[in-house]
Amino acid sequence: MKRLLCFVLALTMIFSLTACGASSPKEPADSTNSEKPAGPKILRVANDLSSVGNLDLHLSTYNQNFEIGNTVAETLINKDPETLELYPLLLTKMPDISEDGLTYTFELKQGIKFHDGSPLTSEDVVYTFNRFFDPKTACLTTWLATMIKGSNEFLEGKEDHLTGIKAIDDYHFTLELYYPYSAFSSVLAAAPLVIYPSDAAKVAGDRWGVDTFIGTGPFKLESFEPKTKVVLARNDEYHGGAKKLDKIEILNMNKETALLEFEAGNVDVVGVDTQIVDSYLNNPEYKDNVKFQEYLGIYTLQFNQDLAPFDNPKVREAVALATDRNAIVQGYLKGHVKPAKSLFPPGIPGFDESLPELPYDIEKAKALLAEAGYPNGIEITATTTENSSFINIYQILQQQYAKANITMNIELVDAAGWFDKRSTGNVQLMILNWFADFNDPDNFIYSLYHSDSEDFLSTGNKDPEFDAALEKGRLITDPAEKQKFYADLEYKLTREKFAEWPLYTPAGYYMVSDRAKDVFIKRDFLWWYSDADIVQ
Amino acid sequence: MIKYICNRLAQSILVLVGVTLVTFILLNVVPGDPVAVMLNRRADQKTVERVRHELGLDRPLTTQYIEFLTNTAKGDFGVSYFDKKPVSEMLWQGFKTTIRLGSYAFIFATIFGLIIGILSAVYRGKIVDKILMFMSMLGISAPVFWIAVIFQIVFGLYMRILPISGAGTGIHMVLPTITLGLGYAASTARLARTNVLEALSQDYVRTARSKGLNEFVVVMKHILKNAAIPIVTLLGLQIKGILGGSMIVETIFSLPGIGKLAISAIMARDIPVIQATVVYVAVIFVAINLILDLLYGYLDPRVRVSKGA
Repeated sequence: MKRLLCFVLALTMIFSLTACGASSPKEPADSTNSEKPAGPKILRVANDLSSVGNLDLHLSTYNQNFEIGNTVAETLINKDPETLELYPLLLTKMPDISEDGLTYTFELKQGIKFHDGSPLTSEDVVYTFNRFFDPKTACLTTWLATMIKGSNEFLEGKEDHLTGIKAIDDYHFTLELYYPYSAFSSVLAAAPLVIYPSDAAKVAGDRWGVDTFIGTGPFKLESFEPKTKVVLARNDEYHGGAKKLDKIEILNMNKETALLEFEAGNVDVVGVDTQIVDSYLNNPEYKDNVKFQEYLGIYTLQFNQDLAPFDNPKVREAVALATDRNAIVQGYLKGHVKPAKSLFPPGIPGFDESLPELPYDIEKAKALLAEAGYPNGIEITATTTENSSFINIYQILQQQYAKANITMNIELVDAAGWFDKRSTGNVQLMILNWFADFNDPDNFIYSLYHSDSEDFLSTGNKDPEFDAALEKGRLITDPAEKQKFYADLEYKLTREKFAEWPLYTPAGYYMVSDRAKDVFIKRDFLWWYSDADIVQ
Repeated sequence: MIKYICNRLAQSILVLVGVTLVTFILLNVVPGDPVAVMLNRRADQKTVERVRHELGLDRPLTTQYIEFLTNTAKGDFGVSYFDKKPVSEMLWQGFKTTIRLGSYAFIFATIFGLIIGILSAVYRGKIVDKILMFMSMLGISAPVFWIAVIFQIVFGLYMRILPISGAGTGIHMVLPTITLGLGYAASTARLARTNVLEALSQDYVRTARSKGLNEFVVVMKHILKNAAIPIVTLLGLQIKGILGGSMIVETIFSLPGIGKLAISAIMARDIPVIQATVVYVAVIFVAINLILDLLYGYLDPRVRVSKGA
């Protein structure tokens, strides 16, 4: 009996070990679950679609929605997928700007059609911008474009339409601004600002984004199973020329299942966490499939200047000096990312390459705490969610801070509780992540540190002088002047005020199958599928 | 019997109202603002207030609750805060997947569990009994997520005979069915074995055998019926759990069921969806309990007599 029991236990263990062992051959055997078509070129993407219950980009703040939406619908101006340089997409040329910088005049390309065959005209642009600011839409990203004249009045119900946009004729229209915002062309390339067909959207009403979602993009929506599967089919009438793929299938999967499906040859594109990428980089079968991208974003330690003890700048400086970002980057993150020395990542105007690395000095941290009235140390609390990707980093910081007599408690709450706490200014310390919506320093520093969002982001940064500087920065058009202005502002925020303390710039890995090419994650963290091809 | 059913239905309505009231109170007491989750990255106070107003969250709580109750009575669960779609539509989509997976898992668990339990009891003490009970112990002990991933790796990745994820065709449901049903089958097997063993020692079994009845008939007709009541209770508990949705199985196998819908809604505080899934689960519980009570009456005439009505 015992021998039998041992034999069965041994079989069970062997079964488990082989199941968890090395990866399988890349070329699948004759498989019932493989969907590799011999004919049509179908790109199969694994992604987390749990936030994709509605395709209407006015109702979302999640990248997964933007990736799909920006493949089906298009913005007036677009960013080059590799360089992020702006170029006119639905326009014949970049807009003409009046001398006072307040009026932008646009000319639409003629002959562009939506997927239902209707032509793109100024009426669609006027409709879309009105819909964007209509309080009934409850658009979640209006903050991106509230420099457009009339937007605030419309949002507050003082007007029944957007007064700042006017159609001149079918292909010409103007947009007026409250003030001469130098980055406005960049704003028009932001993901949520796609142009909708007015007739189809009005007919669809509440079902827009659910049953119907039409644009001018290179792919049209073929089918949509909310939070489960999205299938896009090539638009053969695309104004930029028909693309190579026949279809794109975007399938909902969690990260672990997605990796299994990739290894089985059932998906072509999958993201890979930095923590496990080495197992693929060191695997001869997959190392050539692993790709890398540095994102235009920042991970920074955010101190709440409204809450003690971070209302004391010496305490902020002490905690900052006790942060060893190099140990995090080289140790835990294994050198896959770069330590940051500025709120702005490289590539954003205002990033100053000549800045010295941010200091790390435990003894000075202790001295500052003593000056601040905490000679025996201090207790602080960081708040994060239970499944945060930063959990381990918080624990590393906890150990680092202990060397400077800083006891950091890590408060874990669920996601909704965290958003609630952060949006009411009650988070004392957190790691803030920010990715560029458009390629301008204003998108970083104004979005995060102007006082009109200090409560929502728990920054406590209420500084009228700083606000005035941020508003002044929006008017600067000369690139050299802008570079110096924002570099100085960032220096003041980070190295004098210690409002936040940059940790590292984000980077990520993903894998692309042997049969797919020209599909990648852009620097703005969005997947780019449109130019992909299947080579098998 | 009709009077008994009507009484139970009246009690059920009170239970449902009580459940929705407790849920509503909890949702408004625990931390978590759906507007903050929706706005996610950045917003000013005016935008927060505007979105709250559009969602009706700035109305008095009593108004919100009464509107919810009256609409629910009409089958209208409102519109999801995040997806801006009728909640009943989302619930129906999730229900189709959950009922499909749940039915298969329940049938698998019941048949597989009963067979294992009966065989173990009949061959008590023999090698068959020992192997089957060891397997059932593994089935109860092994975590669902571990079983799911092992199945995906072995059958999907190495052997390539079953799909790793998705809900496309019937064959996609094989691994999720076995994953979900295995733990339930193991519990059923152990309970069935215990009850069948107890029944085997009864005098009526000896009488049946002495009459020359075939062993199969003795077990399936006489023993099973007498051993059925505790098994039916367990199956009732299981079906309530299965039809409530399994978030782990649905997530790992990428199935858009009610379990995942409910958990996602709770994490985002999508209040209309949370309330609808709570009502759904409460209705399932109440309905299954009623069916079980009626089934007891059928299985055991003594229950029928003692109930009177």
